[in-house]
Amino acid sequence: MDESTAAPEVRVVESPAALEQLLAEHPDYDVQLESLNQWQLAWRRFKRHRMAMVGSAMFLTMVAVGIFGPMIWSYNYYNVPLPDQFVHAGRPPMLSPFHPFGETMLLQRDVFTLVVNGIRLSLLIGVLATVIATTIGTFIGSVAGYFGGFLDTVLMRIVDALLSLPLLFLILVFSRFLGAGSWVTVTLIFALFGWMSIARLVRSVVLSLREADWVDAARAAGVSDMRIIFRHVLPNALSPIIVAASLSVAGVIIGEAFVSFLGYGVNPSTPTLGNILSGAQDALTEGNWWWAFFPGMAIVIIVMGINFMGDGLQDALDPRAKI
Amino acid sequence: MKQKADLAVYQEETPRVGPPTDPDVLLDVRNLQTHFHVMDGTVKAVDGVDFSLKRGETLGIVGESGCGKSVTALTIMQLLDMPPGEIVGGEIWFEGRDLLTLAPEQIRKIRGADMAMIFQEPMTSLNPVFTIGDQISEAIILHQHVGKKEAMTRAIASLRAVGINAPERRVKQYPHEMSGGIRQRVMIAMALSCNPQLIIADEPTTALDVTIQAQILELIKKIQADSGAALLLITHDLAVVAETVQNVAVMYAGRVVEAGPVEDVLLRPQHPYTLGLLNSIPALHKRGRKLDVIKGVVPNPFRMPPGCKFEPRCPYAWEVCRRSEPDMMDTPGRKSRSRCFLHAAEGAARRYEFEKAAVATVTAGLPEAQA
Repeated sequence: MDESTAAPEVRVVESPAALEQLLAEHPDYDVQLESLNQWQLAWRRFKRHRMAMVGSAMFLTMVAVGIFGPMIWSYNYYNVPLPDQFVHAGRPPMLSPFHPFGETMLLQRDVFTLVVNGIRLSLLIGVLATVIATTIGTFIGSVAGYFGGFLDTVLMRIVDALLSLPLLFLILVFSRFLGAGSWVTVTLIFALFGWMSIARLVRSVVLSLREADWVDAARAAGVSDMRIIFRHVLPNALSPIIVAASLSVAGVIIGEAFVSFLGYGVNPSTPTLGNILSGAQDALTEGNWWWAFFPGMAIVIIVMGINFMGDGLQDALDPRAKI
Repeated sequence: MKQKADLAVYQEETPRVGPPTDPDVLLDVRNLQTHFHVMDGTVKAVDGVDFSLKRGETLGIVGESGCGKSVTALTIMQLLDMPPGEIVGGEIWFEGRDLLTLAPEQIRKIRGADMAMIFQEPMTSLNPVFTIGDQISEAIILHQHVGKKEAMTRAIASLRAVGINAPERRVKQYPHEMSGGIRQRVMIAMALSCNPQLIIADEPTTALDVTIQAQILELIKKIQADSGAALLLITHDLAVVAETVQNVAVMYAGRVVEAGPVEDVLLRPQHPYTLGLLNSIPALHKRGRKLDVIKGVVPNPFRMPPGCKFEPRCPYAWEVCRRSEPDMMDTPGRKSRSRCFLHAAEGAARRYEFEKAAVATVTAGLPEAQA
């Protein structure tokens, strides 16, 4: 290669077929192989996974709605219009005045406003609780798996003990008596009772990774145990953690909806998808279906999107998968 | 390279206390015992190993699978999983310090910096998720306290030193983009990167194909000579030993049975086990004949023979060997030492038989005999 020539034109092609075609047109081109790292390879596989792309589109749309919806949508959901009669039947979806998802019974709240804000808070709770739970679970699982022995036994028996508690009742009781329906409390409760399965998963992965020769090689190079765990072993364990975490977001959103539906979750003054549904229980019998239908659909779309996405991630992050 | 190594270290009789008196001695392993506690009992994988290595010297440890040679290396590096492993006794003097008395923190500072290890399996000894530049520079940053950029420059330099083409491009590559031979070169570059005093190579060529083996051995010899580091080469391959090291220790069942300069041990073997090993090498002059083997198998680690560990397989054994175990003994007229009663007073009468066989084996293998 001649260094002195001006910057050559660079074309990037991804497949051998495309390269062949390009070379047929420009036989004088120099070919250089660019190697991809595992994330680039994973992204390629992910892009080709149709359900994963559909799921991501669903999920990302909902994230966008959750982030921008409340900014754009002008009804302030705290400003409840006075009911013009004692029992207001609510109004169905209509375009004028603009209530695309209709109005609720009783307080005449705009369902679209509720849903948009509910999506925001539900996603926030789901993601935050998952991030905290994954961090705790990854730390405990990797330490237990790497060091083994007594530490492993103690940590894993704690996990066993926590997993054997009836989680639902525990969450109900805690959210009833702590923080009185604040979403922060609910998030923390899901985080503190949701890390055990991640810890088990990470432990099992680390248990097999720590036997790898490159762990010995790193130790022989004088790398400390903590650095080996977090810089060498965990990056190799990232794929299953990412998959589990993405699926756990869906789990927390459903769990939060469930708890809020029972009336123990986030206070109805701040809407989440769950407590909107909780309020809509009685409305269903009155023919006010839109109050429950739209938040319910939002949950379905989010959870389905995440599950498709997680499925795609699992395939994309599997190093044995074909490109 | 000093071809005639001073072998005073092999001839000391009484267990010494304190650091080695000779400042030239880099590594002094004394009566090292590493045991593994497993469900069926205790395996004495290393059971009283002694050897020492001077600065810039090369020592090979040979023996068949399971004789404890790898465990010896791992014990020196303190890389054993404990439990089930346990270092029951002994001393490992390295640069005036007994490694077995140091805190893990201090060991970590020595590992990678003052002594480095080359592993057997280049295919699995590199972390698949990092570029090799990252992996080499990690140790450099850790031990030499330099910045990322400087470390990368040094990583490139050490890759160049092990004969890798276009190291600037290679540092950005991942292990899966390289062949086994290149990866082993990377491992060597990694071991070399902090200018260690001691390089331990644990079967560095076993996983490579024959043509690459020769290249890697040449490379190890070259970098050893260039850097002046001492080399501890662990292998089961006598040809590798013959070509690479100055001194050799033959291990059997967790002990050194014969030690000395490589030309003495391989050309004038003083222990029946060494002779057995030499006999079982396939050679041109044995064409058409059945391969010679050492009869029997390595003793069950849970039921070691009470006397000499090699006695059940030894064609020269007699009742003394069944009763008690020999110490390392001087061999008359040779520089090597041997753990065999043939060299004690009571074995003198039988030694002739052994010497005859040894001479026959060795001369048959010499080029002029084959011609």
